[in-house]
Amino acid sequence: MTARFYRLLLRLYPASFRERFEPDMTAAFVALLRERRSTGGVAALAALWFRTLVDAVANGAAEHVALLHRRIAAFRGGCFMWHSWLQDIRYALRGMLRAPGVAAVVVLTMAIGIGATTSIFSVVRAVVLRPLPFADPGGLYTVWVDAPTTATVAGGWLGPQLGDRLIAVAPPYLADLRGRATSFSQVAGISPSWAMTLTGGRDASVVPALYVSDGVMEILGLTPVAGRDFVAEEHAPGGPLAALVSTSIWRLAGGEGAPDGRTISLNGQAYAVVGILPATARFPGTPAEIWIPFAQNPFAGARQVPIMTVLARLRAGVSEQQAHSELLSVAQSLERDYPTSKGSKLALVPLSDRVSRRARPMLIVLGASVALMTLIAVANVANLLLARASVRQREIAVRSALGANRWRIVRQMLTESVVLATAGAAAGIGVAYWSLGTLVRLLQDDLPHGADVRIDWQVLIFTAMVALSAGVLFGLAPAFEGSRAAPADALRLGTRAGEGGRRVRQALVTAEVALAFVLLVGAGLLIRSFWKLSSVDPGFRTDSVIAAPVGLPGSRYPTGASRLQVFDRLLTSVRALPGVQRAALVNRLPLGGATNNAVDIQIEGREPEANPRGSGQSALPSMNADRRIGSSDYFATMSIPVLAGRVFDERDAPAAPGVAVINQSMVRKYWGTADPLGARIRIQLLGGPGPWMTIVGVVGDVRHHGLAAEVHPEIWVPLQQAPVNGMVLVARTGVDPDTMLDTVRRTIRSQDPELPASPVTLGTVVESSVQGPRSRMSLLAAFAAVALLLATIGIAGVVAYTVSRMLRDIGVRMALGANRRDILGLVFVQGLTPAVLGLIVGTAGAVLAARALAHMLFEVGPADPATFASAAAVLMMTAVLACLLPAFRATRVDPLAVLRVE
Amino acid sequence: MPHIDPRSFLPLTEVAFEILLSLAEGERHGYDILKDIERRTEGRLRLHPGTLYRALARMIDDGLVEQAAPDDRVDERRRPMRMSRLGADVARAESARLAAQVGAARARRWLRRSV
Repeated sequence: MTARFYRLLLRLYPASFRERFEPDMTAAFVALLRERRSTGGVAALAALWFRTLVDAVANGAAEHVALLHRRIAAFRGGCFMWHSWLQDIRYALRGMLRAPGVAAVVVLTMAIGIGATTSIFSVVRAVVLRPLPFADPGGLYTVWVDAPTTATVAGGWLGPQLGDRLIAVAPPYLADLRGRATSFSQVAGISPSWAMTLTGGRDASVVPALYVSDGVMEILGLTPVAGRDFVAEEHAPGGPLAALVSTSIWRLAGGEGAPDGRTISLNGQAYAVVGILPATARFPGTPAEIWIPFAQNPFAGARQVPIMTVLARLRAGVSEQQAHSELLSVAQSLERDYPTSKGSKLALVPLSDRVSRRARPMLIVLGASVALMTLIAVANVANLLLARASVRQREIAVRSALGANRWRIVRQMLTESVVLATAGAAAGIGVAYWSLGTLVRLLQDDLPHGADVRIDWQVLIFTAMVALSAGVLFGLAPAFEGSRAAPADALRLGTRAGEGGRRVRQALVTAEVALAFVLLVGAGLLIRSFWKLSSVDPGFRTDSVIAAPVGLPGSRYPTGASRLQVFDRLLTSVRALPGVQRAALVNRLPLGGATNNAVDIQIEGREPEANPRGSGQSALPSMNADRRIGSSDYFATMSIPVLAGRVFDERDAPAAPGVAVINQSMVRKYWGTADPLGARIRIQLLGGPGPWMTIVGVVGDVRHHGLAAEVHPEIWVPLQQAPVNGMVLVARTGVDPDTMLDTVRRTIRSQDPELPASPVTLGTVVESSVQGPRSRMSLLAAFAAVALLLATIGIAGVVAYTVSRMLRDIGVRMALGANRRDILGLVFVQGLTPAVLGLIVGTAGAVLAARALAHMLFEVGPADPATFASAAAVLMMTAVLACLLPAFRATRVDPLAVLRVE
Repeated sequence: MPHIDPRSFLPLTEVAFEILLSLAEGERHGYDILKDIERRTEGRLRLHPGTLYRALARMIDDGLVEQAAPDDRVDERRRPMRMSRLGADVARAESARLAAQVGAARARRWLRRSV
C-alpha cells in the first residue's frame, strides 16, 4: 500500500529516470519506513511522509529541468546550430545585396523609427530613470509647507508652480525640523537661483548662486574636488564671506587647481573661494555654480519668507509613511510655538519626483508618439517584406523541396528581418546622435537644467531590444506567409500567392492609418493650441524693444538716492542714443520667467482689523496683489494703455505723497464697477505695513506670468518712491532692435564698468516664454508628418500590389465593356477601404490620446471637432493621392496584352 | 577507453563524495548508502531517496559509479551500486584536494590539535 503510494509520487520524475531507479528507490523508501515505524511514533512517521513528499516534488522538478537542458543542448547539436545561424545571417546579407532597394527602404524606415525612439529614451533615462547624480538618490526627500490657501508664489524648478499648494520653507524652520523630526538622518536646506553680479573677470556678469545650509555636501554625498567644505564659522550669522565655486567659475576668476586664498566679487562683496565643487554638484533645475552659506542670505532669519528647499534623508528603517506622519505632528507643534505658521501642514516629496515632475507629462506624450511612429514604420516594413515574400515564393519552394522544414524557413526569414532591423538600429543610433542636441535644445524648457542626456550603454541596450522586437514583429507575418505555400503549388508556373497575404497587408495598412490618425489629431490639437496661444494679446507691444537687466551692487550703491542717481544718468544716456525713442526701467520684465512679487495689501477702510465682525477670525479674506516698480516712462515705452487717471511723472518725487497705479484685473477684483481713483492702499512689508499710497491711475492688464497664465492683480509703484537695486532697462527703438544691442551694452558699461550688461530684444523673451508649447508642437508635428508619409507609402504599396494582381481581371472587365470610371472606382475602393477602416479605428485611439493631451492645450478642447475633421481630411486626401498612380496604371491596361499571356 | 582526467570532476559535491566513501567498502543498495552516510556523519547528512538517486544518476552518467548485476535473491530488478575505477581515482583526487585545504587551514591554526 505505502509502496504503491510512493510509486505514485515517483510519477513526478521524468519517465526515463523512473525506469532506471523505481525499484531501488521504492525499496529504499520502504526500508526507511520500516525503520521509522519500529523506532518512532506517529509524529516521526508523519515527518517522514512530509519530507518524502517535499523530496519527490523538489527532485522531480529538478530532474525535469535537467532533462530539458539536455534536450535543448542536444537539439542545438553543439556548434552546428551556431553554424547554421551564421549561415542564415550570411544568406540574409546576400539577400539584402540582391534587393538593395528594398533593404535601403527598410533600413531607412527603421532608422527613423529606432533613432527617434532612442533619442526620446535617452531623455527619459536622464530625467525620469536617473535624475539625480547623488549618492543613494532614492532616500532623498524634500519637505514643503502644504499651504492652506492657494499659493501665489512661483519659483524655478524645484520650487512650486503657480497654483501649486506646496510652498518652500522659511529658513529658520530648518533648525526646528532638525530638532523635532527624528525620521531623518540628515536635514539640510538650499535656496536656488539667486541672481548675483560677478565682477573681477573680463566683464561683469549676472550669475545664479545657490544658498546652502550646513550639511548639504554630506546629504548629497559630495566632496569638494579641491579645497574644503564650509566650516561652522562660515555658516554662523555674521561669519566670514566664503564661497564654493565650480571649476569654470574658478577659471573665470583666474584660479587654477586648489583654492589659493583668491576671492571672487559677488554683488560688490569679496567672497573667499574655499573649495571647488565637483561636476556632480549641479543641482537639478538650477544652473547655479556658486554656493554661498545660508547665513549670508538677507532672509536667513525671516520666518515669513519661504525661500528654502529643505532636503532630508530618511533614516534607515524609516518608511516614507512614518516620516510623513511624524511631519504632521511636527507641524502641529510648530503651530503652537509660531502662530504665523497656523494652518500649515508639512509635506514630504521624493526629490527625484520633484525634479522629473515637470518633464514627465511631456515625456509621456513624446514617448507615446514615438512609439506610434515606430509601430507605423514596423507595419510599413512588414508590408514591404510581405510583398517580397510573395515574389520570393519560388525560391522558398525550392528550399523546402530540397528538404528545409517550415521552422527552418521561418527562422531564415526572421533572421533576415532581424538583420535588417539591426542595420536600421545602427543607422538609428546615428540618427539619435545627430538629433539629440536638437532635441535637448527643443525640450530645454521642460528639462531640468544640466540633465545628463546622452546615449550610454543602457540606452544602447534599449535600442538593441527595440531593434530585435521590431525585427521579429515585422518579420513574423512575411515569414509565416512565405513559408505557407506548398512547394508543388508554388513551383507550378503562373500560380499566385494566396488571398491570405492580401488580407494581412490590408490589415497592416488599416493599422497604419489608425496610428497615423492618432498622431495627426495629437499634433493638430497642439498646433491649434499654439496658434491660440500666439494670438493672445500680451498687453504690450513686443516689437522693437530692447531689455537689459541692470543690477546695482548693494555695497556700492547703499542708498536709494545713489541708486536713483545712476538710474537717472543711465536713462538719460540711453535716451540720447540715436535710434532710441523711449527708455524706462521696470523691476520685472513681463514673460521673463516665473517670478514672485505677491504681497499682502490693505485698502483703506477695508482693513481686516477695522471690521466690526472681526473677532477671532478675520471676516475678510486677505487681499494680495503683485507689486511692480516702474519708472515714469515705462507704460509709454511698452505701449501699455492707460485706462484711467494718470501714470507716474515728475510730481511723484521720493519725498512726495505715495502714489500707485493699478491694473484692470485689480480694479475688477477689489472694486468691481466702483471707481478706484483716489482710494488709498498700503502694502504689508516684512517689518509691518508700508505707507499709504493714493491710486492715481489704472493701466491695462499685462500677461506677466505667461501667455496662458491668468493675470494677477497688480500694484505699480514709482521707482522714485521704491528705489530697489535690481531693475531692467527697456528701450523702444525706431530701428531694428538687434542692431542696437551692442550700443546699449556699451552705454550701460560706460555708466559703471562693473555693471552686468547683456541686452536682449523683448521679442526673444516673448519667444522663449512659449518655447515649451512650441517645441511640443513641432516635435509632435514632425512625428505626425513622418507617420503620414509612412502611411501614404503603405497605402500606395498595397494599392499598387493589388492592381498588379488584378491586371488580368481588369483586362477581362475592359474587354467586356467596363469604362475607365469603373476601373478607377475599383482601384479606389481597394485603396480607400483600409483608409476608412483605419480612420474609424483610429478615432477611438485619438479620443483617448487627446484626453491625455488635455492639460497641455490652451483654449482648445480635447474633442475639438475642427481638429478631428481636418486630420481626417488630410489623411483621406493623402490616401487618394496614394491611389492615383496605381489607378492611372490600371486604366492604361491593354486588355489584349493581358489576356494574351494566358 | 580514452583517458579521463579525474581532476576534471573536482570539486565533488558533498553528497557525491559521501556516496563514493560508502561505496569504497563494496557494492551497496541505495538504502544501505543512506544509512551509511547518516551513521558516518552522525546524522548531519540525512539523504532522501530522491536526492540520493539523482546524485547516483549523474555519477552513473559520468562513469564514477556502475550498476552491478542484479541480486536475484532479493529482487531481480534491483541493482546494487559499485564504484568504478574512475570513481576511485576521482575519490583519491578529491581527498588530496581536501587534504591540501585542511593542511593550509591547519598552518593558519584554524583547527585544534585534536581535529
